[in-house]
Amino acid sequence: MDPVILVIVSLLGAGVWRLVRAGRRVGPGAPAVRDDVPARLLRWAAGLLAAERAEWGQAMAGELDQIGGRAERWRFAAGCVSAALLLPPWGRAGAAVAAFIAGAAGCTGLFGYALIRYPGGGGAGTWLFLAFLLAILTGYILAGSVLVRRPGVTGPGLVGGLVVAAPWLVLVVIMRPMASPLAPLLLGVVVPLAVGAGGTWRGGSAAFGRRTALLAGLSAALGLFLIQAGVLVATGGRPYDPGQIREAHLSGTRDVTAYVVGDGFGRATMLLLLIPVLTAMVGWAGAALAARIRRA
Amino acid sequence: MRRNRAPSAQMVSVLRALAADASRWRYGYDLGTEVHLKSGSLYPILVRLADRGLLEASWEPGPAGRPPRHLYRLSPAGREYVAALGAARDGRPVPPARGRWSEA
Repeated sequence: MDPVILVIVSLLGAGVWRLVRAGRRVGPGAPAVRDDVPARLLRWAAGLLAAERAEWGQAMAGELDQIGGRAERWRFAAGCVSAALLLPPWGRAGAAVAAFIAGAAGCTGLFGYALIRYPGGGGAGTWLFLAFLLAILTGYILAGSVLVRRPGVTGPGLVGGLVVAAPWLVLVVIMRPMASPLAPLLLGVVVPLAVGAGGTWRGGSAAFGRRTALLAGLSAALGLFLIQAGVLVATGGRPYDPGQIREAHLSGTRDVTAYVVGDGFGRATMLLLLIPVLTAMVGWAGAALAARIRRA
Repeated sequence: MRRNRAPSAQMVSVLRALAADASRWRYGYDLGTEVHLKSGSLYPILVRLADRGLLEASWEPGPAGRPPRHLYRLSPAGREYVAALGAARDGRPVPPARGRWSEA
């Protein structure tokens, strides 16, 4: 399995495990209040509501507290989560979500256009890749929609996205292969750490910094994918270096352009996974560090 | 331009359930159970009704260590609106509800 996918699956698994374990714990100080997974989910969703809707989140929590059956608690909480996610007003978050959807649609459209303009790939592998790309982009829209609903996160997150995207664009996309041995340090540590810390400094909490870092990673990766895909479609991946031509022949593909374009989309998709994971993980460390320094 | 949209069947069933005993305060969960609406449908309806001034809400403090509960009942405007809904079935127009949105 690809190491990037392995990291993502591990992170998701760890998150779910943490949620379930936390749900099983019973607070000794407040035995009357159930703090199970549905209650935690509902608390999380209530945090997405606009300030003027906050009391509706409390209302849902008050009702959930009265429900005894486990299945019924899950049903009630799931309904409340969907309501909280969709309840207006969305304000500026609506525009940000629309931008995420437009970005994801643009990525899919460019891939589809590349398939038509540079035929030669085709086959089950292409459709599997398309399904994989669509799954990732759907995740982007969902995660982006949740993040931008958090008050105040959209601005710092999108600015952070520019900060993250700029060095990736210069050092990885334009100057490929990396020109400096220090580039991985800058991309993988310094920039995400700064974004997470900056978010914490701006929002006043580590949670704010974590959300800023994740939104920055998502928006940066989406923007970079669009740029890479646009250039690939426009140029057909030209000019080709001898290595690409050799690899294309070795792969058995007759059409070098189709091979290079397909390879380029594959690389862009890897960045679509890698950038948010890296930015979120290291950014979270930066957020925690900044919060500790603020408290000290 | 905002449209005067007819209330959904779900909203009407919530309004009628509240109107059955208009002075009584109701819990959200009980109301949802009565009208067979899941929380994901019920709360957006309650929010809309409250926004339009058709619903009054109040808090009932919970016992020590428990969260308070939200209670609902029709406002005077809500009672008028439900009465008008009944009248509309007889051919008379429903007056527009006051509040943020004019449709109901």
